[in-house]
Amino acid sequence: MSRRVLAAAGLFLALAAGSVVAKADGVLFGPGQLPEAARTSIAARIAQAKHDTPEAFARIRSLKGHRPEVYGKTRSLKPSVADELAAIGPGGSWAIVDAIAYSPLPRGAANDEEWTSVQLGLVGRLSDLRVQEASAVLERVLAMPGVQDDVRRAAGAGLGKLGGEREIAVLVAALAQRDARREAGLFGLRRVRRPDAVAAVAALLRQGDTEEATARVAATTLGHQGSSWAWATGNAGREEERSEVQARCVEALVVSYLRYQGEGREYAARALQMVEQPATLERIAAEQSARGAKEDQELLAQLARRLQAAWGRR
Amino acid sequence: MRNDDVFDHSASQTRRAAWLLWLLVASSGAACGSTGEADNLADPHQQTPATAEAGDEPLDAGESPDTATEADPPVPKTIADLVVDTDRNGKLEPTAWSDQDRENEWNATHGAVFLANVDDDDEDGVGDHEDDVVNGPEDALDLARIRVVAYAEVPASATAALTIDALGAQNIRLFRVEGGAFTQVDPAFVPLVASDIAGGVEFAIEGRYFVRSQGQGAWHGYVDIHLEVTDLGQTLGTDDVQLRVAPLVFMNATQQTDRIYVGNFDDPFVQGVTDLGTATGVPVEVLKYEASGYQDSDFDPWTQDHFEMGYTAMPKAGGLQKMLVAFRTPRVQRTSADVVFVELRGKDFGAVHVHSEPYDDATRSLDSTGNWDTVPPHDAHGAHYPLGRFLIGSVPARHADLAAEAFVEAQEVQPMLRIDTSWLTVGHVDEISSFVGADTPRGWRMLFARPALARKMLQDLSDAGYGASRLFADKWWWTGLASRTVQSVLGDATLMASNQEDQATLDAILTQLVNELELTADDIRYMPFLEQRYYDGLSVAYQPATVNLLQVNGHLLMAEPFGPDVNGVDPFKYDLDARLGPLGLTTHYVDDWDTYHRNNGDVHCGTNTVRVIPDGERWWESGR
Repeated sequence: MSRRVLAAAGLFLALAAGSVVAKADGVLFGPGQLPEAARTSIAARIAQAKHDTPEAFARIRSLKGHRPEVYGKTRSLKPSVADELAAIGPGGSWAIVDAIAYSPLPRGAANDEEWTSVQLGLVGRLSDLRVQEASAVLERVLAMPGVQDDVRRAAGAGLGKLGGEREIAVLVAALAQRDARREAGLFGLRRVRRPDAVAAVAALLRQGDTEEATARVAATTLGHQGSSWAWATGNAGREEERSEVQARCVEALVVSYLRYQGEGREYAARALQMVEQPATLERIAAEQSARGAKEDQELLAQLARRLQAAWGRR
Repeated sequence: MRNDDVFDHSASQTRRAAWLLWLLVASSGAACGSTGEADNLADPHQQTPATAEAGDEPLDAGESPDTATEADPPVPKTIADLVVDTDRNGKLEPTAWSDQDRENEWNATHGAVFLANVDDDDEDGVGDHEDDVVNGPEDALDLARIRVVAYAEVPASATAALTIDALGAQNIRLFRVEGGAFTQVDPAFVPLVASDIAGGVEFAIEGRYFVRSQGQGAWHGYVDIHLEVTDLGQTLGTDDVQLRVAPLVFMNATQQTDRIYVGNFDDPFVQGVTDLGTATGVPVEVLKYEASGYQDSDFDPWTQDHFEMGYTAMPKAGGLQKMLVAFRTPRVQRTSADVVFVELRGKDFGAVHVHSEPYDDATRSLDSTGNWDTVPPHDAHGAHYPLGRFLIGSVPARHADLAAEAFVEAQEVQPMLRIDTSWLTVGHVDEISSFVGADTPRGWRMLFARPALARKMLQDLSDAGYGASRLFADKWWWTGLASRTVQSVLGDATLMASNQEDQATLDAILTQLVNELELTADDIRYMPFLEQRYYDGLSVAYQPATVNLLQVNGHLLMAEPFGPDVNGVDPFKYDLDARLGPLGLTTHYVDDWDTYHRNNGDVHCGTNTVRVIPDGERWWESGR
């Protein structure tokens, strides 16, 4: 056998191996894109789940909500497999991870929108299930190129729900990116009601080059972090941090209200409404005193009136 | 007979000159001896004509003598004379100034009207606007008339031509009427001979469609008709008239209900709607989608989303020539919506379908007609909206079909009001607002979604010791059991935060509506229900959306709220009864959970209505 033949055989084997890997990819990526430790551990959990709950894997392979004949009957007319995945129950978590990153699903005739709905359903449901060992999967979805914004945001939300130090660090790090990862990070941080997470979002709003669209999402994130309704549940975060979280939200939002002029301003006002802190009015008054420009003072007066009206409405 | 002062001007100008002459003479008379007030001098109806020619000329057939009073100056006879129903009394009156003066202008007080003939009076399955014939006497009533007034003294060698502006001609159909027969003619150029002028000719006009756009180059609904009589190459006279196609006027929920539609998809729901019909004496039509003619069997239960009801009308003697018109959802691939063509279109019931070409499927949910509503009549900021305003959820970031929006705006009589529904997964205005009749100067109130109220009610229940009571007892989402305790709902930080964001969004929309409509606090009633989020970050009703209701003559059919059981009482139902009952509204409830609520809609979404066209409503008086 000549060297050339050997080289050709080697290339063939390499290609064949590659195709095996490709075939093993899930609907978003392949296991090779996960850190080795996570890849191995998740593979083991999937193998065990296939043995324990094979029906969950079968159900994922027969999803229908992304098919026009099914979603055409919902009022939103949007493809969605979320309900089907939720109906599988908690036992379906490894089947979902398998579909995301380990085993291909038949796409059939699904168009891009319909196929994205499958990806969104899988990632969204995995996020809901709060599977700590699958954190790396969500982290990969948040970071990977080419994924649809909805799906990336769902991954960010999942990391926020997990809420561990690593996940929070990933989300905060995402704020430094000047692309869709930043928005996904903001979505994830909505559920992280801690002073440091608020500080990270506030810092983004303080940057001179943050665009209005980003400011809108960031302001809304602060609204969720400081949400008076969320804090009233007793399950939003550590009660001893509530005052600091809300005060930081108010501070950042009042300043943002003046800094931004379009969506950023409007959504800063809405977020302040959500935080619903009486001290907000005092903070606005102080800012009015500090501002020399009449235009700024009038804007702040409008904000105060708006908040008073919203909080006073019954 | 030849008179340059007459023949060198159009008939309209000639009549204006005659009028001015008469005014001058009448004024002189007054100055010489009249004791009338100065203001009366300019009013021909207060003065005796200075000339004695009135009544010398024979009346044309069909002329209404009572409109040519002794107080009026005579309308001079001209060789080229068109008459249309300028004064909108449903009659052609060649000797009436009210029909002849300013017949080539159109405004709130005068100008002739014709209909877009989109019904199917002979019920042959083809719209009357789609064929080239007049389909019997009922169809003939939908055509406005134009007459070339007889002028017996026309030279035998004279000829004439009736022409219509190019854009107008493309959008209408013109028929020559002779002995009850209708013969289609080319509206761009209708040749006439001397005998036509001598004996007069009647034409009938129908619109091929409504105005689709007010954009540059589009047909704006006006038709300019020109008549010119010539002899041996010389113009003997001309006349010009203008007509406007009637707009599609959308109905509002406070109008009397004529009938109710519901799809045959959920027996208990249909029974609930039927019971409402019984209580109100309004017939209920259950749409079964069994007729032939549908393209496939992709039927859905969202009857509200299939079409939006409106009407069109023009004057007729003693009233209005009216036609109901269903606007089919722009969404192309929605076979159920074809019900408007397959089952509803018929005598005096038209249907239209307007959409962008190619249709952009991304707009489809906002194109469902549950996203179309009409704010009832009102005044705001000094402007009068006698037909109300069209309300749609559409913003640049997420908008409805642009061709459909342009169509609605092109109707002009119900200016468009856009609100932001982009934050809702379905995205329809009927998810957050509705309008109900009220015994107030305004005549209606707006009901508006308010999650804050729902949360407060749940909090009050919890504080009163009912935190363990369950909402949604025995109800299921597609994903599992829906039943949940009050305390569990109140303890869900994510649910609460998203509802608070939705409340802030709703407050912003409410502020816009309060400002745009000049609403007072008493004009608004809040409807309590919580929202929930989907993975796409958009919201939909968590509790049944009771604002999404069917109003029938002061009766409201709402979704059974399935609130917690508090000693046998559902506090959400109790609240609605207490909130709406004193307003003179009668509340009814129906279980819509399985077929509608858990599929992202509620009662309004599953029903539709035809309202009674008000006899006194004259769209042309809107000034638009």
